[in-house]
Amino acid sequence: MRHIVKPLLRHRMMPLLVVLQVALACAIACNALFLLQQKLVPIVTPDGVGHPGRLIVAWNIAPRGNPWPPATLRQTATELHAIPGVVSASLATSWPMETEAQLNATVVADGKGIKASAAIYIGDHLLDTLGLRLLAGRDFSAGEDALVYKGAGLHTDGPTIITQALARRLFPGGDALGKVVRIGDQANAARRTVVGVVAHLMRNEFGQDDREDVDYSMLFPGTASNWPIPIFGVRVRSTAEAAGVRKAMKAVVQRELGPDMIQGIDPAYESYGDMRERMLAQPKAAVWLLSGVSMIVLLVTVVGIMGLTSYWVQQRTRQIGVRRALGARRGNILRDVQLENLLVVGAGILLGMALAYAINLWLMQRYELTRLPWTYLPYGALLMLLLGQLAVLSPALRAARVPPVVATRSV
Amino acid sequence: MFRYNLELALHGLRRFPKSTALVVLTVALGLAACMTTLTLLHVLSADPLPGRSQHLYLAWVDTVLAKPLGSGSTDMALDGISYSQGYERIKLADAQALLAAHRGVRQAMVADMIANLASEDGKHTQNQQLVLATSADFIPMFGVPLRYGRTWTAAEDAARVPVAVVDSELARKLFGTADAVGRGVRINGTVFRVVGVSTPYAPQPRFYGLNFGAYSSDGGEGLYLPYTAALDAGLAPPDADACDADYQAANHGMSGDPRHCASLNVWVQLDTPRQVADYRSFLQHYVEQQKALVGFGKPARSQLTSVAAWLKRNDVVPDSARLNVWLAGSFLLLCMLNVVGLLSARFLRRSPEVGIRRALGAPRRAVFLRHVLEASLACMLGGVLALPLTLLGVWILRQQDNGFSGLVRLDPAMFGVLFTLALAVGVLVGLLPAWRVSRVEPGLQVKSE
Repeated sequence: MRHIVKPLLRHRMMPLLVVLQVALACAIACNALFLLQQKLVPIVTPDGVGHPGRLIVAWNIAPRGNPWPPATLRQTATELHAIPGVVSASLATSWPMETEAQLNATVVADGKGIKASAAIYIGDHLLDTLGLRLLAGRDFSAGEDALVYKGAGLHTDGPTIITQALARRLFPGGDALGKVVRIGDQANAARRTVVGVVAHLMRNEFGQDDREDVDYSMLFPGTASNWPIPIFGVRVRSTAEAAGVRKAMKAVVQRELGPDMIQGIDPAYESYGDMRERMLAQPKAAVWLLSGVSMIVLLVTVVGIMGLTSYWVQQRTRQIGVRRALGARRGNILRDVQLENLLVVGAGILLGMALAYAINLWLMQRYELTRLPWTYLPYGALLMLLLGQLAVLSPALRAARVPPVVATRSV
Repeated sequence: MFRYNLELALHGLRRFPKSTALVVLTVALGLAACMTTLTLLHVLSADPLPGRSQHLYLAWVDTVLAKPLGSGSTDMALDGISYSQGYERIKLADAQALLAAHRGVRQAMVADMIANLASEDGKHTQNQQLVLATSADFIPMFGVPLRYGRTWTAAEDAARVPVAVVDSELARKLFGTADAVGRGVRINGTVFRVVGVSTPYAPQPRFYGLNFGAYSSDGGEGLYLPYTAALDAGLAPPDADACDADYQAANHGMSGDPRHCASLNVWVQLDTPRQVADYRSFLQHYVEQQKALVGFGKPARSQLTSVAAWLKRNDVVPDSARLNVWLAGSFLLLCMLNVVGLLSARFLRRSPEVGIRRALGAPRRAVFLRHVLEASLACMLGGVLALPLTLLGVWILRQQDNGFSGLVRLDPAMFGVLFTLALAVGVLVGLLPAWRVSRVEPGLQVKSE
């Protein structure tokens, strides 16, 4: 060990440069990968919606003056359901992958006090129209779906269907069915009884893509009153019929609601797949950018380590020759160079971890990012060590090939 | 002497072309990343109206007859057309009172509205067009460049005359010609007579209408109407910050009716700090005089906000743009460290040669200078290569559809920044290796040869 550490201390500049490079690369890569992972959350999390091409959504329907009475909207939904090829039609307050209207609440597991922030979708026949997969319990009954709330429905008791992720969060280790979730943390908050659990349903809040709770959603049956921007969704039997249904849907909505819409604001009729594409375009672009940056950072570091080590090896050609002449095997030399690299890169990583954490703390203060999880650090360290070893392989092999006779040459 | 050093440096660069290429490429990558993100930030944080924006202030008084909004644990976010963060708009009566008071050098009421337009003969239509309802002072105050005709007068504002100023682009779409003075634009059955044509006007960011997006690659409103006539024609802002409580109780929807809801902005031009202070106390005094507000349990609130503070409050420059600059900056630092290492190795390999030069009488200073020069040359080359790479980066940014990326382009100032950055990087990066190689002892090197 001494014969490795000593030269490092004597010629400090080269190892120091490697340490600094590794530290900086480590800090950048950890933070970039962390940002990358946050952007990936909404892209890789299943949104729960089945056959996105068969779901058509009409949104951006804005009334002039007062909102439409629930009866008018219900009538429109009924007519939408009557379009040939439509399997299910819904009238809702908000919709996944659409941020125009959002309903979010702090929900509390009754009795246990566990809190979570969840998105709430209120509407009729949502399970069928969204094509959600029911894991346990039942769908809402026809009677429950026919309910008309006084307001939005947040303050009314009743049944609810929640996602599995939310069920696990609120009722860890237990069956959520039949349990009560309170909507809000005030004493008089509404009580919703869980009647069903679905596999997934993504929330429609994209302000912070780093949420672990991106799958915390609830469904309420029924129709909200005085809701200014209603959303209609219809599920089509087959993708082939989608274009025709879309046209018919536009005609129905225009006929029923068109005269009372705000002039100049036209509704959008889109397939859910297109809505998803549009919402995820920006996180996707960011993912490409960040992964490109991370790759280049690592590449530059590998090249840097390679250049420095090969010079470092070349400078010691004679010493290596002497050691070989004195009986060191090729394997010994190879291992020594690799071990040396391990020490230097390890020092760089330790420094880099501290730096990564400091940067993260600073970013948290300035840009409201979340804390870098500790689990990132060992992965980052392992990655850097491997890259270090990869970079040193060629110079180390060259060192091992130095023949013993070099020692005698220039004396 | 400099020429000689330059020749030596060039010779040095040519001697190890592979390692030179590596240095140049690394520097180019670092510089290009930095320049791309800086260009984006530069575009986003530019002064929207140089020379004017320092004198413009947004006036706000809270006269909404309702209790202040509390924040509960259940929230409904209804952003019909993405709300700006603050509660900054006011009602019609207050806007008119502020305009009539004439306490600023100039003052204008501003509100974006959406309308379906048609030429008078009905042959050409333009749907969902953004229209600016404003008052007579807007065009001189915000420096909208007029090409033909005139702007409207305060008298026409007061008389509710349906006149309009149109920009040349919209004029071409509606009338087929830029000189549209005298033509008519039909909105909801009212014909607005065009009295003036402006060249397209779209300050970036469009600070007076952030609700409809801060940056628009495809221009701004295109049509300016007197607010009085626009309201008469049935236009209204699509949303409001807040409405009077009794009105809200009777109308549940999103309403921007400025008679009952705070949906208008008032901008004031104030040229001296003295005027700003006076206007501030005038506003506060105005709110305190509002007898109707008693009983709603809110303090008398008013605010005067400068353009810079306004942009900051609304987070107009997205955090991600700043974050990217930091990321690219640290990447450049990494590239520089890398190049320091590469150059050190390269210079020190030359120790025997330097030793001989030193033995032959070259002073340390000359050796140091020569190597700094070589490093700077390599980095300047990197700067040259960074230019196409930056253009590539800017092109990639323009492909991303996020409202503002279409605006990103390199301007002469950014070329200057690139040149300076490359030079600074070159000198900084050269210092350590050059110092190290200038320490080479002449005697020792000659001995070991």
